[in-house]
Amino acid sequence: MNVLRPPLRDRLAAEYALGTLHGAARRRFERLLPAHPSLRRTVAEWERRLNRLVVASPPAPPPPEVWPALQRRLFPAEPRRAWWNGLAFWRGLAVAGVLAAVVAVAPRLAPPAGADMSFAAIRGKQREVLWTVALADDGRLHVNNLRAMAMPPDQRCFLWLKTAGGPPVMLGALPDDGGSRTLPMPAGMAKPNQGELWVTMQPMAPQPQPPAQPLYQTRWQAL
Amino acid sequence: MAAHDPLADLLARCALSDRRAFETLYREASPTLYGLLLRLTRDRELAADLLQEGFARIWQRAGDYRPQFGRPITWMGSIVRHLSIDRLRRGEHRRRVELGEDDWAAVADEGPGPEERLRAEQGDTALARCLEILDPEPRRAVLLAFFDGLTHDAIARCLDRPLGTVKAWVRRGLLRLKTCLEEAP
Repeated sequence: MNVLRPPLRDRLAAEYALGTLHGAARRRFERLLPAHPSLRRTVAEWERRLNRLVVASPPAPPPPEVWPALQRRLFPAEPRRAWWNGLAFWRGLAVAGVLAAVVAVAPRLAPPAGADMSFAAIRGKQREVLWTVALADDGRLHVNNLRAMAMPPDQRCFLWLKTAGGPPVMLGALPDDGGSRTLPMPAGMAKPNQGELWVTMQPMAPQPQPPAQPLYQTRWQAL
Repeated sequence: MAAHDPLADLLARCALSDRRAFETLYREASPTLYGLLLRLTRDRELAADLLQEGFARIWQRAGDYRPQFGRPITWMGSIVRHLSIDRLRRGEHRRRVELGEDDWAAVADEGPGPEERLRAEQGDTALARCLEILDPEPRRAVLLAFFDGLTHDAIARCLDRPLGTVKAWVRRGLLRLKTCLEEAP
């Protein structure tokens, strides 16, 4: 593709970082970014270079009303809602419910008795649900990303199972595009419904390193 | 520049939802970012609005910061600059095209250049020196784009030069800046 030829790529990245790339060209350029890591890298280099200028404009005290407005916006003083009272939880539950129904009516998938299901909600910083995880009876995990997430280039979120005494075992990469995905049961694991679920953000790699700490963590709930 | 930047710790704590750290980060970084936004928009209300929007993003994306993106203030500056460029270009902010001749002259003649501040207060002598080796007009064009958020078109009107000339100045100015910074980062 034309834009990836180095001299042009460098020029467009520079003008994008500077702000002189505008209109349709700017939008087209932004659409290319997600799929082209080398282009993102070139933009990052230009931003690092040019934005050293940020500190060269004289600082000015911001109007005092900005901080309270920012706090109201980010941390609304909501009456503390119970976790089962949030819309996102019910949305997740509805997904799990549909899955349970599918499992129940599909005779090959569902054993006649004792079909149970585990469910987990992974919450973000503002307690909002980011993913729901439903463990179907066949051991497959159905993960649902409730909102598309802006991810740093080359990073993915991974789901891990952490049991007491052992290192975390990777269950798979989580969707971050607002969609859902089915993850196969890890080899040698009967049913991963014990322990905690950990989420990490890590560079994309065939074998991501088991984390020492999770970014988010949650526990299974039986349905 | 290699010294550890306390803003990096604050960002790391924000990534773990530490609101105290966020408050400190706001206190430390908002004057720089607001100053930048005031200059970019020349509109207090819009600058305040973009500052709020920018810090909301900084809170949400604090975990994305990596040292290879530059200093934390550089990374935060890039967030608010992109926000304001998008807003300025969306046409909601029409004041730019309404600037009269005198206003353009005022934009073009913005007093002492930024090199002084870079050198004296930020210790970034490399960038100051690399700006100084640019010819005056290409240098002016790059700075108008960076600090005033002007398009090629607007720079051409502001400096009263043909559009093609301005485009070439910006392109060459950026290239020389890059080469110079690569020689002495």
